[in-house]
Amino acid sequence: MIPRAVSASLVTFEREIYDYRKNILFFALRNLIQPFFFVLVIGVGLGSMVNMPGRQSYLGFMLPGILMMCVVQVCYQHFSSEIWMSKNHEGYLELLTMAAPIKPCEAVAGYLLTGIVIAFFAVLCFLAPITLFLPGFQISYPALILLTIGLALFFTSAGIVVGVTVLDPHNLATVSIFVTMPLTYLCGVFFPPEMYPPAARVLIEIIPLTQAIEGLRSGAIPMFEIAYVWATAALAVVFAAWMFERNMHL
Amino acid sequence: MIQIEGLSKHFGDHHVVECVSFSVHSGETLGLLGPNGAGKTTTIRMLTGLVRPSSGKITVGGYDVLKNPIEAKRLFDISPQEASLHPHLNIAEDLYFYARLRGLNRSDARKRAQETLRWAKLEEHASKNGHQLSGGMQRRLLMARALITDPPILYLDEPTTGLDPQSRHALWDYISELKGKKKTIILTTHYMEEAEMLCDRVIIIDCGKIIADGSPSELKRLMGVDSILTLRLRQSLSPSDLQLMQRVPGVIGLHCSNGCISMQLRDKEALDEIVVTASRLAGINELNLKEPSLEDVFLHLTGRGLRE
Repeated sequence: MIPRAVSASLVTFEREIYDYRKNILFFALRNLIQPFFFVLVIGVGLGSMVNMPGRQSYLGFMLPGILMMCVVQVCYQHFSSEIWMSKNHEGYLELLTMAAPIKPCEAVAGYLLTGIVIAFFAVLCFLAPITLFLPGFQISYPALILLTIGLALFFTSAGIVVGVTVLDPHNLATVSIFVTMPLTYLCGVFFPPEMYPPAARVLIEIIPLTQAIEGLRSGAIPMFEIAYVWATAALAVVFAAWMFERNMHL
Repeated sequence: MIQIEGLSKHFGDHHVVECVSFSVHSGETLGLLGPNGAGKTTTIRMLTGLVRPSSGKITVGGYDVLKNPIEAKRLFDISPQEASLHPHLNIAEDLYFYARLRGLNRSDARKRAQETLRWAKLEEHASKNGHQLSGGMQRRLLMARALITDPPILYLDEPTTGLDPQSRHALWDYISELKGKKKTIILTTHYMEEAEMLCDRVIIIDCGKIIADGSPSELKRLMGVDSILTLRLRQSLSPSDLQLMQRVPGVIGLHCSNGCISMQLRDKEALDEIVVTASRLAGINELNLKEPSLEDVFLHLTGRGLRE
């Protein structure tokens, strides 16, 4: 017998995944397009002109960052738009609050579980061609799994918060740019955070994406970075559940 | 079955619902009537827990809607005013996932989705998206959703607004069928004939307050009017002629518009004198005498001024 709260969360998960599966080709393409251009233009093109200390190629340096960036973008963009649509366009969240015997935190749990699954799908979409075309590319899979889960929880939560609080669709696009653009270029995807001045570095290191990228690059199982990403994810999840509940009632 | 005590909702300084109390018995169909912005939908939304009341208490089947929302929601379902339709799900999938949300397991959800599709006569449209359906079919889909777990209580928020007469009559048949199954129903509507035909009891709300509560026949008696006489005249009446008509004993109200005068009569004894006076003053083209309807009661209580 599955406890009611678990089955209530799984219903939201089932619905979200069903919807995702219906458009899986579109989502797979969406997951690949930006990383593909980053790898091609910056990794291969610009990377051929960059000399990295030691034997590592610039592309090899960049790939863990792109991988983690994929997780961030997929989770944040999917849920900020999905929740916004459900609340402001489809009226689904209103219906959920009015008629479904499901607590808001159980619905959030379903969204978070969906976030983890679609994050792994994005990682798979990215890793499959990379492994095919760059057979020498190595990564710590336990670290990848643990960091992907942590980042997925953090940025799915961020997407939920933005989706339930922003009302104007134009603001939704603007907020998305303000969230994903700085993360893409500041969190150590393209160059190591050591290159920042100390004060700026402190700020950059606070962001869980930076820790995840550094942790994945370290090659082993980075305990500190994993613990940090999971701790910030736990805070984000609590905040998202609170915001979701607050915004579901008029 | 449903108890509402001292229910109020304020949005800032705007008092949308003020100290509303009523109860609905098991198997009763209650109509909530009121002009636009009277507080009907806010009341329904408070009943479901979507809107948190500023004060007051709502119990459904003995469960406090705010303290025990899960238990309360198992007892009711809603056909909302706005159709919430998923852009990527067809209506069979929509009903299946709605059933899952309402707590049914997968096989029961599939079975109930098929049954309610059949009930709503939407089987042949099962593969269509909700947005591809006509207004009437969308409303039937919302009714089918509300019945997916066959709950004892139904909230129907303006279920026939914007429908053509055929679709409206079809929905009335569905609601009558539910009444026959002894469902407890709260129905909000703008259509007085709908309330008169379907509701055992009617509450009229205006400016967030209950101004009348009773069966349609009780409310009509409340008006103190025996009949309403409408005359289409050959010539329009001058203000002094209108005053003359109003002074005829037995006339308790007079309203003049579009070349017609409509008079509320305390009894039929005044009829002879009215007809003679009107013939003498302007000539009569057409005469209509009817019992007061719920619409007359509604206009009598809420006035004829526009609400925007």
